[in-house]
Amino acid sequence: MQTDVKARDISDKASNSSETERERANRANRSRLEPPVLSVEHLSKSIRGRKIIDDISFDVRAGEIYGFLGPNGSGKTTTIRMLVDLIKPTSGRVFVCGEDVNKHPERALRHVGCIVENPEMYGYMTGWENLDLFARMQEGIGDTRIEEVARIVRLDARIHDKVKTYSLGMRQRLGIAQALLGAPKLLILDEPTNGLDPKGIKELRAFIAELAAEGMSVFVSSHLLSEIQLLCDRVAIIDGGRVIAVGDVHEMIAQAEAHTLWLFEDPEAGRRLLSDDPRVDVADQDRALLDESVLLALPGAIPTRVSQADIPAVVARCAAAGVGVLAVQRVVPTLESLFLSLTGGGRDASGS
Amino acid sequence: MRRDLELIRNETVKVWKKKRFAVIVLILLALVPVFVYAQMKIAQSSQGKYEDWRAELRQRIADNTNALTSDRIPEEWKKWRVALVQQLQYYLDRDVNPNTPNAVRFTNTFLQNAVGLFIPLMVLAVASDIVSSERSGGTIKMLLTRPVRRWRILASKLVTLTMYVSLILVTTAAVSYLVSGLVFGYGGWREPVFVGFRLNGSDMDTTGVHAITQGAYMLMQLGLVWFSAMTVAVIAFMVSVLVRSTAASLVTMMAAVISGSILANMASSWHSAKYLFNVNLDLSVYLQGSPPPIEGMTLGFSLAVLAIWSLAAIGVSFAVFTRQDILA
Repeated sequence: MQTDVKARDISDKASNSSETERERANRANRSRLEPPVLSVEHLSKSIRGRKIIDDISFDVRAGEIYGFLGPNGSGKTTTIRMLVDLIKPTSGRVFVCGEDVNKHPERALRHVGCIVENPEMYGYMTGWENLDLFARMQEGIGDTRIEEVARIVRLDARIHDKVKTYSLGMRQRLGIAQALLGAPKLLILDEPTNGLDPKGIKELRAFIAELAAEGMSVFVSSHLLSEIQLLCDRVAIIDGGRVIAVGDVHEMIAQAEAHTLWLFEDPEAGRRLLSDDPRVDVADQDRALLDESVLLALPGAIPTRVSQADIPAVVARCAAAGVGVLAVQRVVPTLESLFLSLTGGGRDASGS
Repeated sequence: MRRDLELIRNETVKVWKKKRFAVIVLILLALVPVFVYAQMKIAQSSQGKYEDWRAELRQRIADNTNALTSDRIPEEWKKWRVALVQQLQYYLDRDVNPNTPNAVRFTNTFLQNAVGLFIPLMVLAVASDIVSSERSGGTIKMLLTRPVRRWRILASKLVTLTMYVSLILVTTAAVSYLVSGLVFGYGGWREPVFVGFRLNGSDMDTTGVHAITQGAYMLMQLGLVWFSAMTVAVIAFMVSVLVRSTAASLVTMMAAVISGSILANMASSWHSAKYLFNVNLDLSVYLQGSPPPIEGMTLGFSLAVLAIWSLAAIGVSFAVFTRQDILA
């Protein structure tokens, strides 16, 4: 019960954005002084002569939430598999807390908890039996620790049921419990929100923030920019097996061009007004880059690029012309539009 | 070392919870009574026909000798009959009944007939998916991302497999003894069996023949059956490492075992077939003193062939498992 209260407490904190900003800053400052928890150096992998991963390098510091962002098929999972010794790199090295993962997996992986793709467990055993099984593979994890992680992921009520009766969300939580067993310094989660409902996703975010606040580094992969934006401090963006950008998530998003959607009572008149205005750039060709759920909420809206400061004047101009403005909405850039600004004109031009 | 014991415990628990062993016990409990009933019918019918076992034995010797004169029987069958006739004669001369019905004799006969197909199939129920199920279920990702070297994980699986193979054999013998004892009585441990018949061309060399108790015979037989069952298990283990799908690995091994028993019946003139593991599985022929499937095969030869195949399979399993990329 106690942990329940704590989890709610943390999620309240997470929703309070100023607090989160300060926490983020603290965490970043603290971690810059320590050696990296995960260090990836010039990692490459070729399978049957085809280069799948090409010279990837990045560092994850203590206590930071690090995003690994890329479209499906860009090499995220292959890279993650190399981080945990499931795939041997063709060249390059991976260090966890200074230990080479490929040479000494038994030492390096002691500091790592991970879920690679789906959290697959033994369905014919109970949650407890599964955790017990993995606890026995490592020194010093007793029943009290198993009880503790089951409570942390709020699975204690169903822990003695067979895993095959669990829902996807419960399996996900059991997977996280398994990853937390050895109190790792680095938690690796591969697309952790896949298949979760919005409530589950929110809970997971709060949970990850809580773990990082306690000093754990979390490495999260995703193909959704919004996911990374809500969760991470820093991000590496991967495309076609290469890291095309590494940096602070918020700075990077600020670089990307945001779109503004306009919805008018009379769409034809509105479009004419916007096209005539030198401050506004009507960008119908960018429609494909925008988040579909946003477009769905504003059917018939006109996508434009316009500086935020100019919006009041443009609205006033429309009103003066007698064209009713139903809605003006700024849209968060998507991964696609971020790619555009990073590669300067289309992913295909970047050579991938 | 303590960690290794924990790993072996984990693997044992997995096989147990998958209820593989329970299925094997159920199959035994269903099938053994059938064989016992059949054996009981045979005993009843011969009791009605002959006044005592000596008359029955004489009749069998006469039947087989007559068959030898027929042209229609292939050469290797004749050899087998010659051996049988001379063995029966040996028992008759020493006034020892080779067919007293009791639980120990039934168990020995059952093991002897089960070594070629029945026992390998039961072993495959455990061996075929001990590695491949982790891959098809995706649990291998959890297993191999723990701080344990890969060879240790594979070794724990191999030890677990060895324990289950041994358990399957002991259970087979125990179920067979306990069920048949209900009908034939639980005696027979001290009854004599003659071993050491040696085939010299078409003649039986009886100079090395000596009597041992049926209990000792059962132990020797279990040892040989264990060796051949372990070979099947270890090769299935290798296939399980190489093939992702449990069904594919099971079918591959069943095909190998079954083709072995077919080959053993027809390959007597194809001499190099004796280097295949699957024609060497029936080690109990050497204990019985019947002619081997292919000329030139001896107990030592078969043990060596099986050992080499097993070691190679273990080598390949470890070499592949410790290097392989877990891509999907």
